Amino acid sequence: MNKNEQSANQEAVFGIIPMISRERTHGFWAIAAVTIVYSMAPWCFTQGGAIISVIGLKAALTNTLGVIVLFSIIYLLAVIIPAREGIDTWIYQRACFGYKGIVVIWFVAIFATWGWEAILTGIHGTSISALYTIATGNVLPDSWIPWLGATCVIVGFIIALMGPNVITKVSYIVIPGIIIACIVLFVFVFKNYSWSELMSMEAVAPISDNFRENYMVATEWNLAFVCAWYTVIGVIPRLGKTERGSYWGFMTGFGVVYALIACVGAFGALAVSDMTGVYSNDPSIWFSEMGGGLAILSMICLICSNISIMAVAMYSLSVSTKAVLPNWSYRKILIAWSIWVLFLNFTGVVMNYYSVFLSVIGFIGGPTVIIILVDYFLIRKQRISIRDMFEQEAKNAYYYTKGFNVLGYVALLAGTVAYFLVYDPINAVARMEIFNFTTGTGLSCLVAGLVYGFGAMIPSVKTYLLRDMEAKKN
Amino acid sequence: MQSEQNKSFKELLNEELEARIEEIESPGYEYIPRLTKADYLGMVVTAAICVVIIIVGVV
Repeated sequence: MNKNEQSANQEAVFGIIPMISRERTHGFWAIAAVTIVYSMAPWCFTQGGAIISVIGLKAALTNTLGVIVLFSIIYLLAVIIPAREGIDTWIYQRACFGYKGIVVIWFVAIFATWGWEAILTGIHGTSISALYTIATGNVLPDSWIPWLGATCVIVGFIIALMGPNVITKVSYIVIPGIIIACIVLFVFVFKNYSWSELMSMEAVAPISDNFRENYMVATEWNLAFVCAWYTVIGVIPRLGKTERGSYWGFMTGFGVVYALIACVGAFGALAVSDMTGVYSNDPSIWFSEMGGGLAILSMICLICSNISIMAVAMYSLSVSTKAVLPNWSYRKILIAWSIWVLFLNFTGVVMNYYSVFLSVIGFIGGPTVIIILVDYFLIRKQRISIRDMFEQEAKNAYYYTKGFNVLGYVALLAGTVAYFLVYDPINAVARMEIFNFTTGTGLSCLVAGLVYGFGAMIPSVKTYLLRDMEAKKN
Repeated sequence: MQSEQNKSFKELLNEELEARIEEIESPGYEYIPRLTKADYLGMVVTAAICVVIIIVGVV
């Protein structure tokens, strides 16, 4: 077994086992630092760019900051479970969906999660193409961009193969890279516009004439944006020394900083669009339209950040996959995920259908986390059987029906149906008036939580769910 | 080679798991400090600030 395979094995074991209280290493600042690094990804710019397409800048900034932080207050309560119990939320969800049931959800969620990396490849390709144009004066054909984007996957793959030490060093590039890009955007924006001019800027491409409909679509996108953390929400809190440090550390990085970077994206996209007439939610397009030395520097920063984040994602998601597919080698998993990202890159589906991609993230990541919260805080009253989380025989509490928690699936299905009943993600429009009060993700969370909570009040269902308590009594 | 890798992974996992579960299930196990009322108050205040920000954006 080579060194990296051993390392991946150790990481996968480390990711599965419960962390004991005395092993905890991360206080508030350490957790905040890690989550800030995670949240400083170039796709935050893409989100801000998408929001200002439907609402003006004042509404976009307040919606992005207010809605993302407000929803994070509830969503990130899920952090308390891995912090307290020492297990990843993927392990905890065996209680919500069953041992086998959670594997199915994991696959759907993780396939969707790679969409964020496909956004990186898009930004990467256009950045290199723009740099080439600035350097030579020639324009590369559009057909070259996916091939240039593919280099991000290939270099990320090579770095991920080198193992965790190299990846850690490479990840240090992300923060200065994104900070430089943010500063350049701000300098450009405030050099050319006053605050009052910015606040009066209208949406670039509103979906409807009705402000409220546009506003609620933006709200839907921001709620879904928070749900992007679903797959990684349980990793870091296991290291937290206190619940307070874990929760507020996450709120700082995944809530506040995440929203602020998206706000910078909104500034950049709208200012560039207003000045040049070119609208895009791709930050490399903004920088190429700005021109000049600072824009070149920003694009180089974006390219480096893209590669760093790609390498970190490849490593962490492959180690996470190893925990679910222990028979696969680390290298084999890396290759499989690289092929998937390359497929997303060459088809361009995520960049071209960003709102559809966000809806996939929203209807998976929203209701599932609400089901987790209802299950842990309301139904189990914060008491679980840690042994049953890991022993997967039919006699164990979370085996349910052949490895599937039927109520968990019914609740998730109900949430998904509610989502598509009220919202059409392909055209990004409401299907029913209720969307303008709840949004799609909001309603799907509400429905899934209510179905799970009320379902658990039926005596036979309660017995079905709480076999862990019976086992403890015996 | 492949089966050796699997064995190593599973062995490593089972050894670690059993020891930790026993420790967590032991009566003297101490959990990390929980959230307090101040944290929940902080959440309410943060939520109120967010609501104000949202309202400011639409009026």
